[in-house]
Formats: sequence, structure tokens, C-alpha cells
Amino acid sequence: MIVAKSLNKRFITDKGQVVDALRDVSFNVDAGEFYVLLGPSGSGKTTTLRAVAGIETADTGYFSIAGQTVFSSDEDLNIPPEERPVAMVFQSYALWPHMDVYNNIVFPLRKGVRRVAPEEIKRRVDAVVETLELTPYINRPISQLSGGQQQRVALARALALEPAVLLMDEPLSNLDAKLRTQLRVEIKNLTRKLGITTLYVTHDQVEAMVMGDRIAVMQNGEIAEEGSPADLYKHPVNEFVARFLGEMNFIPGALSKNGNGTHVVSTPLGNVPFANVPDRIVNDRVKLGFRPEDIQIGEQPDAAIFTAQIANRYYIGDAVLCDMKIGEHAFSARLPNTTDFNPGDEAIVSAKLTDFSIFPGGNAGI
Amino acid sequence: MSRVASGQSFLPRDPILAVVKIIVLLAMLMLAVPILSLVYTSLTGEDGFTLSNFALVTEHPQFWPAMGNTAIVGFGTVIVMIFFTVPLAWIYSRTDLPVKNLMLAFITINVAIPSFLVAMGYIFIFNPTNGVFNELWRLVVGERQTPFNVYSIGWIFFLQGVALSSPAFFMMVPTFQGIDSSLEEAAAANGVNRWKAALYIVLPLASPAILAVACYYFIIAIEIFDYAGMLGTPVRTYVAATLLYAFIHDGSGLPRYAEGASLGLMMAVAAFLLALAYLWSVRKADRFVVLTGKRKEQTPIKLTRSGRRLAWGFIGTYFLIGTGVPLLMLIWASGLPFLQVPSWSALQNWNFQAYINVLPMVPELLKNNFILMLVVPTIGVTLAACMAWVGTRFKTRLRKGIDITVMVAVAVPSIVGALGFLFFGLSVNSHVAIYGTIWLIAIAMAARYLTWANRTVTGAMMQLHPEIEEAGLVSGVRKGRSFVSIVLPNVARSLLISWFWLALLSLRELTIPIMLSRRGTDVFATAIWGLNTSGITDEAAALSVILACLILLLVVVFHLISTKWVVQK
Repeated sequence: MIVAKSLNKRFITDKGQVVDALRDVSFNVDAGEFYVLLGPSGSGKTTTLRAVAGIETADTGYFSIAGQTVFSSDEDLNIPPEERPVAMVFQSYALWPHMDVYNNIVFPLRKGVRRVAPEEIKRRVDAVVETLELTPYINRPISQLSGGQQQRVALARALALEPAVLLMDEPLSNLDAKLRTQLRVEIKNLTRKLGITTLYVTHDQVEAMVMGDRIAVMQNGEIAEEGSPADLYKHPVNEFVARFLGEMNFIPGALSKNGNGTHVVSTPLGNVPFANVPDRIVNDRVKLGFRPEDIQIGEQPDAAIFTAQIANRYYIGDAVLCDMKIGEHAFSARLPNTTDFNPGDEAIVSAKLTDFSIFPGGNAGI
Repeated sequence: MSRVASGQSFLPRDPILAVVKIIVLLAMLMLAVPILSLVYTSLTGEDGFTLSNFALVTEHPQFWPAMGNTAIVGFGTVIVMIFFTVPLAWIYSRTDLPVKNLMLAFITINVAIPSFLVAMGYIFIFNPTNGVFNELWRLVVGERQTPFNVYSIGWIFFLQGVALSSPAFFMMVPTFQGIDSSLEEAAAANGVNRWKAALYIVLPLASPAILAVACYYFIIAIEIFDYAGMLGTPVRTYVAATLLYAFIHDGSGLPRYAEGASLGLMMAVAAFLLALAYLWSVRKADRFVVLTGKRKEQTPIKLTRSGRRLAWGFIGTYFLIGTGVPLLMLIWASGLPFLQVPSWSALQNWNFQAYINVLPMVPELLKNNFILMLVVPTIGVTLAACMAWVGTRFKTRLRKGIDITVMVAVAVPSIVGALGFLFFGLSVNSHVAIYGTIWLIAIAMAARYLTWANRTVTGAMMQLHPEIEEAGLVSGVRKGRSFVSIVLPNVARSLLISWFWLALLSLRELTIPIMLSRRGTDVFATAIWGLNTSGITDEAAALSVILACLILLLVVVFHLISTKWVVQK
């Protein structure tokens, strides 16, 4: 539904610094898919979204939406935003403060390029107002709505356009935590029900994992890694992605080849075999990553088993977090809240061999 | 990068946007015209290009004295202004002074009353021949020689300083409000009393801003015509602005246009350089000031009884000096055929004869002033709205062009701009008979105020989140349509305020009409100037009182409309 190819965009700041906002960004979003651009601020996710919308223009690259080419630097083509088959929900909601709820929804349908006949306007407005439960507020001025209600109006305005693609720029970041959790699910269910293709920008990794069918993690204007939430979390290829999606422990290791073509990484935790090592590992110095919750107390089959020292223990309600040490290497573990280790104790713990991810080494001991 | 048209048609795809762009080009032209005509006139002699006009100006016997006077007036004005405006702004923003609205009303009136009326009021009090105070001095002290002569540099900068304190007040207040009052509370908690805190904490924190305001008003102070024109010209003490006027309106000879243009260009360049220095210093100052930016709930200083008296005493004195006394003097002088020291017998002679005498002039003056009051703000605000929008929302060359044009145009002093339009009017007059009409005055004024309105509307538009326009674009609304239906309604308040302010400015303006008025296009300001210059003081005073009443009426209407608007919103 969206095809983005080799997008590049370069800013020059007031101080003359060159900032590469987008570096060779390419991705495809399938029809009906919920695609999330995730990354810290300044990573280029919002720039990418705004370039899809046409509010910003990439320097080079190619975009098509629903089969229609909307931007191509080769063909010197750039369709203005108002003519692209998209609708967008903004971080600030961007509702028009001088209009009431009804007029906010209706204005683009009446005065925009994509205007429709009055009967059609009525049908669409009735539909979105009902879906989003806005009937009681329909004639209210925007200033008299709560944040959550404003969010719904912004969504209603976008959906009433019946766009080929719905673009959302951190739409939940201005809401309080509880409402955010609730609306996450609502938006996800709504887009699934309507079968609408969605491109969603957020810096919140939980939000991304809850909502996204696929996630692209962005860093410094590039897509660092793309995949399903489970793949990205469980087996990240990119160290930045590993760190960005929750906590990850790293242990240095030395890679060597076995006689039968498989590999083994020897680490302070013991030897961890890998059936095949990806091409990006070019050196024998590597790092192994594992999540705190991968650690289990006691032994288990097909696992690295080792004795660790307990440095600190924090009770956080649903779990116990432990700072552990093997020699000089520190890592953290998330254990059941019944765990009763004390600092200074030694414990036998283990992590399944399949839970380890391998990364190129560098500075050992991180 | 080009865009692909969705369909071939003669009409632009976004007709409103096209219109806006044309308006912006028109506005830039209006701002550029005076500068271009000045450059052209000053650099052309009988045989083409020449620099001799500049030489003529600098060799003029009054040139160097006028430059010296201008500098004295500039510095003097700023010192007087700081003396009044800093305490006023501090009292208003940091204390619990009761009836602050009255204070605001006083200061607003001070801004609204035209400078030349104040100057005239002081002429009636302190002129050496028959000024009321000087007469009184002679009666009481018995000496012929009195220490007060209003026709002097000292009075020019003192009165200018008093007058500029009011607009400067509005620039200062946000600074004082922006300083977190917990800084003062911290001082109090550590045993430093509130007055010392104000002196040693608030004032130093505000000083970069005070300096910036001082620089800004220095540039204004050296271009004001009114006071120097009223109080300097009669004794041939010139500043740059009045020397320029003398070149063009020399009673004895032909207008010396080329020299006027050269002087005007020199003034504009000087003002532009000063403006650049100002911008540079503001940018520097910004880096040092630690202001929270957010306006938090501030705890005002509780004034004691005597503190309140002192504060109101200061405000009252300021108002009396700035407006009260000169206005009363105008009323007094308007009823007497010649100036007299206030006394019971003089009061009994007070009559409305002067008002009756000026009555036949009033319809024409009213007509001309009303034309200006409608046309100037309407043109000014329309152009400013389009310019501000393109200036804040576009990343194109047009925007760069606007920035540069506005920056240059702001620096052009009123009288220099008026001179530029005078040349423009003269040069196109054979094709379009605009010279000597009210329309040329209107265009010159609109161009002058355009930069002011542009700044106000730009401020309002910058507060508007760009996403509300982008939301229009991505939902299919064209740029031009979103300007009209989304942007303008949301800055309506600032448009309305600008409109009224421009209307008020056009009513109180002396400098531009005095350069461009001819018989039949007199306005109140030029008529009063003429009567005063001819020594018909009672009629000048009577017209002044009528003008002051009109202005006060406009201020009240403005106030009612803007407060009502606020309530509705």
C-alpha cells in the first residue's frame, strides 16, 4: 500500500551543521497492515511520516501510495499533500479551535480537494461519529473537550476522509498513562475492524509492540531493523534495537568454529553454540545479548548454566530484580517475586541457549 | 521541484494562494518604493549619476550641529525613559498595587495622545515670551529672565523620554513578569528584604532586557519629528529629522529635494546599522538571561500604606507630566484669545470663540482623517496578514525577500519614508495624478505601519501551532483555503487589535501628512501645526482639544470592543 524507496533528506542547521534526517530509508507497508515507525527523538521517524503525507519533501527517493506515485525525485514529481490519498492524526491533535466537533469533521469534506456530495458527507459523519461515540459532543466547541475526546475527534476527522492510508504521529503522547493504555487497544481494534492501512509513529516501545503488526526501529535517520514485535524483541540483529526495546545484558565472548561447521562462543557464562553465524559477524570478538527475564534460577536443559554472585536485590511488586555478577561482568535478572536471594549470596542460574543473540564485539565487558 | 498539475486549466490550482502571493509582492513593493526613490533621487544630478548631493548636505552649516543634537536627544531621551519606565513596569508587574487598571488606562492615554499636542501644551507653559509659568515666575520673583525656556534641547529629550516611557512600559512588563518570584522569595527566606531583593536580584536579571529596550527606543528617539519640530525649529535648533523637513519645506526658497533625499538616505542607513547592532545585542543578551519563559502564578510584593502612596504618587506625577498638564493647558488656551496666567478674571473671559472660528475647517479635516482611518488600517492589516503568513509558514525565496524588505523598511524613519513617497508621487504624477491627494498620504502611512502590523500578526501566527494548518493540507484542504478558513479566524483578535491601533496611529500622525499634505488634504495634525506656526494659538488649541477628544473616544471604543471580545472568547 505504501512503497518507500531510498529516501534521503539533509538539513543544514542555522549553525551550518549538516544533519542527515533520512538516510536511504526504504520500506513497504502491505494493505491493511499496522506498521509502526519506532525510535528516539531525532531518529527520523516523524520526518518519514511527514514525507509520506507530503508536508515535508525528501531530497531524493520514491514514494507510492495505493499504487499511485506521489513522489519521485527521478521524475521530478511531488504531489502536494492535499492530493495524496492519506489522512493524518497529529501529536497535538491539530483540531481547528474556532470550529465545533461537527465542523472539524466536515470542513475538509466540504472545502477540500477531496470534497464529496452532501449525502455522502452525512453518511460518513454519521458513521464515524457513531464508531467513535462522539454523538453527545457533536456540537461542542473543541476547547470544552477532554484530551481523550479531542483525540477521538482527530481520529474521526481523519477516518471520515476514508483515506487509503492513515498516518498517525505520536497521537497518544499527550494523554495520561491510563487513557493511553486504553486508547492503544481501541485504535488497534478500530483499524483492524475497518481494515485500514496505518503508518504509526511512536517513541514508546511498549506502544509499538502492542499495536504494530510490523515495526521499523529508526536511528539517526536510518531504519536500523524491521520485523514483527516478537522477532525484534527476541532476536534483534542490531545492538541499538536490542537496547531500545527493553533492557538487554551483554557479555563478551570469543567465536570459534567447530569441526562440523557450527560455531561456538566461549563466554564467562560458559560455551554457547550457534548453528550458523550471520554474515555481519566478521570478527571473532563478539557479544552475546540476553534479556533479564531469560535468567532462571537453577539448571534447565539446553541452557548455559553458571554460578553468579548477587550484588543487589530490588523488590518491585510483580518481580524481583537482581544485579548479578560473574567475575567482573555485571548483568541483571528479572526473577519471580518469591525469590529470596540476599546480596552476597551465590546462586546457580541458567539461560536457554536459544535466548542468546549474537552481536559484533567491540569494547568488551559492557 | 515542480509539481504535477492534476488537470490542465487556466486558473491556478490554488487561486487564493495566488492572490495572497500577489498581495505580498504588492506589500514588498510598497515597502521598497520609498527606499528606491530616495536612492534614485539622491544619486542623480543634472548630468546623471553623482555623489555631490551628499557633499552638499555635509557642507551645510546646520549639518554637523544637527548630528550632534540628534545624538544628545537620543541619549537624553533614553535616560529619561528608563527613569520612568523601569519603576512603572516594576510596580505594575511585581507589586499588589490596587486599581492597576487605572494605571493601565493612564499609560494607554499617554500612548494615544499625539506628541505634538503635548509639545504644544508645554509651549503654552514654558515659552520664554508669554508661557504661563514664565509669566507667573515674573510676577512672583520679579525677574525678567526665567530659568525655563521650552525651546531647547533639554526639553525636547525630556518630553520625548516621558512620551516613550509608555510604549516602553508595555515592552518591559513581560520581562518583569517572566522573572520567577520564587527568586525573591528565596531572598526573603534567607533574610534579604524585598526592596533589596528588587534592587540586587530582579533589576540585574532584567538589565539585559532593559538595555535592549533602551537600544530599541534610541533608534526611535533619533527619528521622532514632533518635539524637535515644535520646540527646536522655531529657534533654528535642528535634529536630523527637522533638518530634513527644512530642506523640503524651506519657507524662503525652493525645496532642495536632492539634498533632502541624500540626508534621508544617510538617516536610513544609520538607523539600519543601529537596528542591526540592536538585533545582535538582543541575540547576545538572550544567551545570558535566565528567565523561565513560562508565566507562572507570581506572588506579588505586598505594598505598605506608604509604599502604595509612593507608587501612586509616582504614577500620578508621570501622568500629569505626560498628558494631564499639557492637556489642561490646551483646554485653558483654547478659550482665551491670548495666553494668560490662570486667574479668576481670566476664567471669566474663557469662551468658545476659537471653537466657533475653527468649526468651518472641521468637516474637511474630519473627512480626510476618516478616509485615512478607514483606508490605512484596512490596507495595512490586509497586507500584513498575508505577509505574516508567508513569512511564518513558507520556506521559499519569497519569505527571504519579505524578511529582508521588512528589516530594511523598519529602519527607515517616518519622515524619510514620507519623503520617499513624495518623490514617488512626483515622478508618477504625469501618469497617475496621486501627488497631493489623500491617497498618497494613505499609502505612505499604510507602508509605514505595515511593518508594525506585520510584527503583531506574525507574533499571533507563530503562536498558532503549524500542525493545525498541516491538518488542513493532509485532509485535502488547499493552502489558500486553509489560510482563509483556518489561520485568519484564529488570529482574528490580533487582526482587530492591529486594525484599531493603526486607525489610532493614523489619527495622531503628524510626520507623514506634514510632508505630503497640500491644500485640500489637510488633516487635524497638519491644521494644528499650521495654526500654531502662524501664532494663532487659541484656534490651534481648540482644534487640539477636539482631536484629543476624538482620540480618547476611539481609545474607549477600542477598549470596549477588545474586552467584549475577550469575554466572548
